[in-house]
Amino acid sequence: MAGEKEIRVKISSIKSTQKITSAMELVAASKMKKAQQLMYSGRDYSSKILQISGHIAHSTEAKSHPFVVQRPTKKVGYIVISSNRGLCAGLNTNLFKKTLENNIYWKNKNVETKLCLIGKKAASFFKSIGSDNILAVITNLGETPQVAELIGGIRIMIDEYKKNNIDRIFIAYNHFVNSIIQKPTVKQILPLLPDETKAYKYSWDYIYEEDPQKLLGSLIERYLESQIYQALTENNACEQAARMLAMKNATDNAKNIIDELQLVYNKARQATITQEISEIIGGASAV
Amino acid sequence: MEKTIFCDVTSAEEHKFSGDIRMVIASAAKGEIGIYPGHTPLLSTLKPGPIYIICSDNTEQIYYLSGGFIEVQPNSIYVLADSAISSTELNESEVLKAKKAAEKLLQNKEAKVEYSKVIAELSELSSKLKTLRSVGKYLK
Repeated sequence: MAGEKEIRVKISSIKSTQKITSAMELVAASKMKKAQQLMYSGRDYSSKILQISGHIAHSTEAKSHPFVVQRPTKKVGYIVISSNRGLCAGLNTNLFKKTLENNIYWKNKNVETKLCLIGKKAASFFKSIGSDNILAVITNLGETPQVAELIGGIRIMIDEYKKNNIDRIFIAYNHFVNSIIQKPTVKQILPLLPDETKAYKYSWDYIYEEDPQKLLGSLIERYLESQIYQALTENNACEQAARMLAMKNATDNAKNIIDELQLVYNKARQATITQEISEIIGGASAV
Repeated sequence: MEKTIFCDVTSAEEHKFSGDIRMVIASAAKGEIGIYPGHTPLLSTLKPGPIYIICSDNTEQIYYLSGGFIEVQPNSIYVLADSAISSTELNESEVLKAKKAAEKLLQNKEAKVEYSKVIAELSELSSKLKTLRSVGKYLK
């Protein structure tokens, strides 16, 4: 059995770890509230614009627009959104796993993949597995991301798409279901997916007030911005929620270990006292 | 019974309005357009300006939109705004005050300001004023 002193040192070191994890839990909880607000406020807009782009993909004029035309798939692009920091349980790992599964699916079909990585964790992960298909890396986004900062890196991939170097673009992020469940999601953002729930028997078109190609261009640009921004805010909320849970578990585990060690410590202390008493009694009776 | 159509107004920040309506008047790219139920599909950008909605219960909803898109489908109208302010959130005297201040700034030749910025602000303020003035205008 370890000595009293060693156990005491161990307990105090675990206690300080516990303090750190419980502080991190509180910080994550307050950040999660903000991140969640940001996410919910954008959700309506991004889902509506997704719906509208689903309608647009059916219209006659749009069918010839480069962002709508379905080309034979030779190369695909992935925008992978991860967190900048760790200590959020399996959040990033699950997402990378899902992305890699997708990549392998395309590889088996002889389709090349290109990556655009957002967040330090994605950057270090894909570098560590030796990916040589990374197009762009963005790691300097804060907790309240600005669309302008984001769009710079994404632009490279969209330009490749315009030049027909990439035929499909997917976005991989964690979807916020609730503060306990985060769902890794891979979703196609380009070309636009036609809304399959509505059957359009005949070809039809909108009345356009201005040049349709220009209008579609600016609408789709807005669509892309909102989809990517929304994915980012979702992922942000997920990160904070996952970290909060991970830190809560860590704090609970620390508490259990401390309780166990306290028992061992008490036993050890009692054993020394008993031993000392019996030694004294033994000594006294010998006199 | 009068015909109605579903309408939904969403801004980048929040969901503003959704429900059955009798008419919408919006500031589209080439001027104001009025849309009744049964309109043919239409897609347009929106200029900064007011949007009037007359609901099925003959009440009105008026918003100032800073720009965006409108999509008309046979059974729904979707308005996507960059930002939307309800007419009830606008204060006429405050808007007027801000407008006067901006106009003064334009007339003051010594003030060092960016003209384009002031003019943009001025046009925004007059659109807001137009939004306020239109309260009750289209109600029967």
